[in-house]
Amino acid sequence: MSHKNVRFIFSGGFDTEYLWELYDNDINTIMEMFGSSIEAIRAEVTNSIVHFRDGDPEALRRVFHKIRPVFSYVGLNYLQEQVHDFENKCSLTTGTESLSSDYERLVSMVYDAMALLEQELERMKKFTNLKVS
Amino acid sequence: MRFTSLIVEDLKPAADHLRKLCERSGIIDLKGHFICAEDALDYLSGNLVDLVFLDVEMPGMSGFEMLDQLVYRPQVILTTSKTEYAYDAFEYKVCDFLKKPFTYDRFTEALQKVEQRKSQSEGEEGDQIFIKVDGKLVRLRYDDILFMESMGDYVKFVTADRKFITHNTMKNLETKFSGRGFLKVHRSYMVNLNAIDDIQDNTLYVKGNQIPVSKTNRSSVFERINIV
Repeated sequence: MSHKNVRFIFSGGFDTEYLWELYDNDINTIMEMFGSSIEAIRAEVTNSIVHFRDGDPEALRRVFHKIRPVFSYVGLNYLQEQVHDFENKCSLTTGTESLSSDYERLVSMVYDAMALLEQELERMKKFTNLKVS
Repeated sequence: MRFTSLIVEDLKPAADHLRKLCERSGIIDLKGHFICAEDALDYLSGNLVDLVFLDVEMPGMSGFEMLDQLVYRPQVILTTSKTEYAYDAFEYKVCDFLKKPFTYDRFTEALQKVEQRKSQSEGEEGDQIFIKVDGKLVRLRYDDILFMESMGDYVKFVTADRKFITHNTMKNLETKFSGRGFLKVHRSYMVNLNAIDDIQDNTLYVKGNQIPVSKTNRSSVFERINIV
């Protein structure tokens, strides 16, 4: 059976049509963007930990403000709203203590998203290898 | 039409995506990518580019603050995640405003706007020129330049109160300046005809400076000035 014309099917949670449209049906570009986004999110989450420990809500807000649009590059647009809510909470406080539970929840959500992205990237790699073979 | 361009963007996925779109277009000659406006400003103070893809919110200086400080204004396409900046974009007369992330079709639409603007501005008679002096671009009005003197691989631009030496040749500048009221009067000199005070024998006097007129250029000098 030929795999040449089979299209990759994204897992639930990803805005499939949006991704194909954004990257002109090019799975290689999508894979590159997933890789680049995972890298960017990982770096920013690490920064966020430092700012949270330092008790600097403004620096924390800036980090999540930078993470937020990354989700739109990987078809996880629905996560942006939750990040935005947290940014607003950061703007309304002077320390990070009161943000503790929200921060933990958000970081956990971001880690889940990263795991999902990594999983999906692996699936895409396997898929493209299968198509080539 | 090809454009020399710069990406100013701190978000890696956004910059990667933009770089791919530029490559795909085949008309963008990407000169660099900067993750902060300060570094981009430093580059632009010594280099001319046609087009800048500019993010608004970056660590340190914002994209708009960078535009405020530019010596010259390349075409600008704003790339931002927030539509709230649309009004500012309009005020800054940027070529287009792209909300991130954007498709290739939307990107090429923006490039078409840049092409249109570039054609328009090339059709218009600008009254100024930029020369590179000590790594910086310096703006000079054509009217302010009294004359230019060749110094081998360098050219000295003389105004009423300043002198600028730039790496260039008189031959390169002849075409650019000949339609602007300048005339080559000697193999080493081009003079702004409006700045000549008087002429005696084979010498022009321009605001206290003596400029030699060569035998071969003498007739063209007299053809271009009004003698009654």
